[in-house]
Amino acid sequence: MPGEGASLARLGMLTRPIAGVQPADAVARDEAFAVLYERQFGRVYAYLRYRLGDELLAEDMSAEVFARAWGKLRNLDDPDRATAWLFATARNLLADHYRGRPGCLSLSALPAGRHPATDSPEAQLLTEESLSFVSHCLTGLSEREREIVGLRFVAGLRNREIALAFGLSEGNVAKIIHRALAKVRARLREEYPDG
Amino acid sequence: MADGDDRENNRTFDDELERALRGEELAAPSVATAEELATARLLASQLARLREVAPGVRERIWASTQARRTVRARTTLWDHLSRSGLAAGANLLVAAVVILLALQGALPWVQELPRLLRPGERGPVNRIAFVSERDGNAEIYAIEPDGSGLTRLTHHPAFDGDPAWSPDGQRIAFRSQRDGNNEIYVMNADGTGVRRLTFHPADDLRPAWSPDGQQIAFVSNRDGDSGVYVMDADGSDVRRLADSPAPDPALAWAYGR
Repeated sequence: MPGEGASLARLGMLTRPIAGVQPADAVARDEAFAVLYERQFGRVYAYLRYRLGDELLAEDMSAEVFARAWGKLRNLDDPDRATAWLFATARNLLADHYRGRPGCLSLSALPAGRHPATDSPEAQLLTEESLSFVSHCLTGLSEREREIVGLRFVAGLRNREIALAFGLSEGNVAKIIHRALAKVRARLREEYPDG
Repeated sequence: MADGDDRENNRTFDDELERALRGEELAAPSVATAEELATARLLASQLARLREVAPGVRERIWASTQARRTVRARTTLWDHLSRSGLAAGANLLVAAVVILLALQGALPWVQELPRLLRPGERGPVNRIAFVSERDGNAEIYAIEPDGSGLTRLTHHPAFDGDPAWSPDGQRIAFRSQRDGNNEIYVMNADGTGVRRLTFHPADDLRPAWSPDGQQIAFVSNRDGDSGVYVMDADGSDVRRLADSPAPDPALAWAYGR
C-alpha cells in the first residue's frame, strides 16, 4: 500500500536507504515491513498489554515480536499468515516470560530504546481499570480460553487467524470462544442474580 | 432455567458482546435480563478500551524494533549476509578485517568494547556463589540474583568454602578440607569436574582469579607466616609475591598493572 508507506516516510520512520549501497529490493522490503507494522502493531501491543497487564513490558515484547518478524518477512506476504505468525510469536514470548526465561533482549539501557512513558496518568488509570474489570470477568477461564478470548476481542483477530496461530480448526476456535463466553455469562449471573 | 433457555441466553450474550464491540446498537433485551445485558455491554466497552493505543506507543515500539534489528544485524553477520547480499558482503569484509586485526592484537580497544548479550545468553558471573551449612556442613551453593535457581555445587562431608568465580563465569575456585587440610580446588560452574590445584601440608585459602582468568592468587602459611601466593590456573608455577604482608580477609586483583 503506497499510501501507508509514504506516510511512514514522512514520519521519518523508514530506514533511510544509502544511495548506491542498499539494493532497491531492500528499500521495498523496508516499506513492506513498515506497512506490516502499521497494520499490526496496535493489535499486537493491545494483546500483549492484556496478557501482561503492564504497558512498558508490552511495548518491549511487541518490539521483540516485530524485530523477529523482520527476519521472516519474506514468508509474510499472505496477510492471514502474517497475522497468525505474529501472534504465534507473541504467544511463544509470553510462554517464555511466564516460565521465567525472558527471551526478550531488553534494550532499555540503550538511548535508542525506550523513552519514559509519556501516557497521561489518567489514560494509564483507565487502562488499569479496564484490565482489572476484564480480568475479573474472565476469572475461572482456562489459560487457553483467556488467550483466545483476548485474541478475538482485544486483538480483534478473526476465528480463521486464531485457528492458524494455534494450529486448530476454525470450528474448534468458535466452540472454545462460545464455551468461554458461556462461562463468563454464568459467572456474571451469579454476581447479578435477579437483574 | 431449562437448558434450551440457557443456550438461548448464551447466544444472546455472545451476540450482544459482538455487536457492542462493533459499536452497533444493542438489541432489545429478550431472554437475558437487563442487568446481564448491561454487564455484557460494560464488558464489551472495557474490552474495546483495551484495544485503544495511547499516542506515542507506535513510535516507541518502532524505535525499539529498529534498535533490536540493528543489534541483531551486528551480532549475526552470516544471517545478515544471506539476507541482504552484496551490501552486507562489503560490511562483512570490513568486519572480517577488524576481527583479524583484533585477533592479532593490533586493535586492543576492540576487546574492551562491551558486548550486548544475545537473547537467552547468560553473561559471565550472573550467579551468586555462597557457602551454607543448610545441609549439615559447609557446602558451596549458587543462586540467581533474584533468588531463584538455588543449586548445591559441592557434596562432601569436609568443609568447602571461599568460592570465587572465574572471570568468564565458567569455573569456580574454592577451598576444601576434603584431603585433610585446606587446599585450593577448582570446579565447573555446575559443580562438575572438581580438580585439586594445591598440594601442601600447610593451609591454602581464599583463592582469587586474575582478570584474564590465567592465574589464581591465594593465601598460604606454607613458609611459616601468612603470605600471598600466585599460581597458574592449572595449579602449576606457584610463587610467593615478594614482601606480601599478612593479607586482609579477602584477596582481589587490582586492575591496571
